[in-house]
Amino acid sequence: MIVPMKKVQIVVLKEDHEQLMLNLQKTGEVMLIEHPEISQKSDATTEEIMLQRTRKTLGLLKKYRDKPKFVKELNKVDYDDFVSNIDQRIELLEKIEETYEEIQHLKADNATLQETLKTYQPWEQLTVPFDKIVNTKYAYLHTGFIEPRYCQDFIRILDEHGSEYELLGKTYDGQAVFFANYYADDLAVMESLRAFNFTENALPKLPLTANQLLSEKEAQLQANNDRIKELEEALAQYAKHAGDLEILTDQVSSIEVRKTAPVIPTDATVYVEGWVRHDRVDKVIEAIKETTDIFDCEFSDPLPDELPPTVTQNNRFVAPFEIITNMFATPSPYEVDPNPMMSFWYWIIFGIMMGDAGYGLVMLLFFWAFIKIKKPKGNTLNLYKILMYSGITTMIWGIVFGSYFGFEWHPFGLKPLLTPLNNPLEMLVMSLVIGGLHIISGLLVKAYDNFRKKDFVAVFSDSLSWILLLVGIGFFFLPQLSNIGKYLALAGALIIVFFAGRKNRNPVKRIGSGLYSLYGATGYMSDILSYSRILALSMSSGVIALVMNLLAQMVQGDLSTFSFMTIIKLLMAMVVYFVGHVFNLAMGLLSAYVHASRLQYIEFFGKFYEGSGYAFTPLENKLTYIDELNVN
Amino acid sequence: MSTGLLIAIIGALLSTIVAGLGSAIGVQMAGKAATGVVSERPELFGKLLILQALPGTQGIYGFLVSVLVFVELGFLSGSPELALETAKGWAFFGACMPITIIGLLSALYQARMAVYSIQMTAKQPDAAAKGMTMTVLVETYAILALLVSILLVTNII
Repeated sequence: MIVPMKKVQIVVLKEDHEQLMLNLQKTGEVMLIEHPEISQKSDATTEEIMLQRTRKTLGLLKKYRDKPKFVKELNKVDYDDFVSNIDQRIELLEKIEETYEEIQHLKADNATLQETLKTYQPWEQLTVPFDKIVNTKYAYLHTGFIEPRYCQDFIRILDEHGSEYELLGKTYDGQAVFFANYYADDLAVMESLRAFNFTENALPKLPLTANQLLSEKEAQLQANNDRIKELEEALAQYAKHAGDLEILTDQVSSIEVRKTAPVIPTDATVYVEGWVRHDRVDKVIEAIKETTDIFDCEFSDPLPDELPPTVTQNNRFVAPFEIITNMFATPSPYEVDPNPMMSFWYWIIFGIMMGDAGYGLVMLLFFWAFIKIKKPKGNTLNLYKILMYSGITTMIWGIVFGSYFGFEWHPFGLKPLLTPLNNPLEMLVMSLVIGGLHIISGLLVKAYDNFRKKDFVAVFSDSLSWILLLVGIGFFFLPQLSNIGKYLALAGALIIVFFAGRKNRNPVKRIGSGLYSLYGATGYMSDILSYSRILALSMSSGVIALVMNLLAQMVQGDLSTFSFMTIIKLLMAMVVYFVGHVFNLAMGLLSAYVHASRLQYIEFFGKFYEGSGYAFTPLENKLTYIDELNVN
Repeated sequence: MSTGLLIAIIGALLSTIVAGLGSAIGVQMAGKAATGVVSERPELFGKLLILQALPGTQGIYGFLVSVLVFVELGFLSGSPELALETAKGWAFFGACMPITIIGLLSALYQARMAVYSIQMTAKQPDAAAKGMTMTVLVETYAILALLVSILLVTNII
């Protein structure tokens, strides 16, 4: 059912503003109303930046953290801790950031060092300190690279001019060379060498030999690596406190939510307006009283031109299915809650589409265990609950079809009522009948809605007429009832023709518009035919299960004679059974989920549902990592 | 083996091959779009995987019809109808055609819808269910084709 809402208006002194917001956030019962022109929000840039930092750091720490435990433990935090202890967590964040930055810095330094090592490696054999390589009066000294293929030419030219040379290490730049020319020949030698792509490479004037330089850099590299190791160990230690960063994320995002909550300030006071459930008014009053004694507060019913947010409240079975409706559209607060009816049909149709007792049992147990062990929350939890509940109908329909993991089985002499594979036509008829009933139930919801609004003519002409027509056509196919069916259908059609166009005063227009409405019957027909997908999906999951079993039996072979090979074959067959059925179950769940949803959205909701509401999103703590806040 | 049986087998093979081809291409198209989004927003993987899998059903439908033909022809029970009349062979062939042709085309068109829905989900993750519903609408015609194929295949002999 849809919960009636109240509008709350609160005025407090300016100095109580923050405390009020904190207390309202703690109760999580008020959805603030924003008036675009006069509402004000505080600046939350600091929080946004802080959130980016915590998320980034959490990402960095991920590889240092222990794997999450198989059985999830709920993350519980005390409320007082949550609202007060922020600074020490920020301190932790800063320490981790510093450590990480130092690592980055050292790694960049290492890259430069590696580059330097590479540059000086070819000069390793040069035993002279670099700053001693200077031209003398008669000898001009050169260092540089020559391509290896021109080495012979290089030696020839230098020999011709009587120069001294030394061939050093090789790199991708070429062969490193060191040579001395007689000063008078220098120009000529260099000119000839240029033809062989000699590149001069001046060495830095350092009082070190290449060897000394290299070992110095290597030592530095080693020191850096040691430091990096140390820092990474520190990070691994910090990773044990990553939980604090997660709490910090939730703390900061809750502050952000609070700060950006719209309020209307005056000179000395703050005015807050919001929606609250009519049955939670006391809690809001309590929250305000906890803040201050000086306040003004008023609750009122929504005015006719106001659209409050929608809160639906349903029993444990129906509630998870609300996500299916909300994915399509949130109900308007003034219409009938579609969820009780929708959930029932979704449950049934999902079951037929899966239609295997074995799969149903697996769904029930698997999703039950998953919820118990992994403790998901929010929409994920609801989805798993839907799948778990649908396991029950899947089992029931599996027994009806006599299908157990694709094997036909009829325990206790139960005769299969229907098997999609052997009776496709009967199954098709059943699918269409279910479609007809589904649509009729949609029309009944609409009738109830009009009845509530005291529009009795609409109940009669927009819902009952179509129900008569549909039931009549249905009866028409049953030999015993075909006569009654004829009259029912005719009565329905006549009501539609005479009443659907009742808004028109002109009788001709009225009948014309009524006839046009009757043409809508084609829409109903295509809607009902659309339910034939129930047969298609139920059959496809059945046939694939059958094929998987056939494959496995081929692998398994004959089991009557026992030998070592039979065990091997049996094991291999088990793998085929397992993989095949897991695949089929997963694909079947996907198809059943989308197609059962589609039947609700298009065929069922199309008959009555407006869905023009918006969700109730109260001011509350935004908890991503924390599961529970313990309020004392 | 009679000509009729051969024709029936060819029809059955075509429905798996052609509808499967459509689904393979379709899933690949949607997958390409999804990888681009996932590289930027890894948290959307679950939603996009569902959208990517949607054009995959046609291949399964084609396969389903093939298996039904094999069941009808007695291949799976070990006593094939070796003397199937040519006319009946053509009847099986024709019965396979709706899902063969519509399976191929609807998988390709559904894949385009899936790509658009993936792009929509990338911009607005909450709209994933709407995208799914719109994409599934295309599949209706594959399902109708499948039904026609099933009803024909199971009623020829």
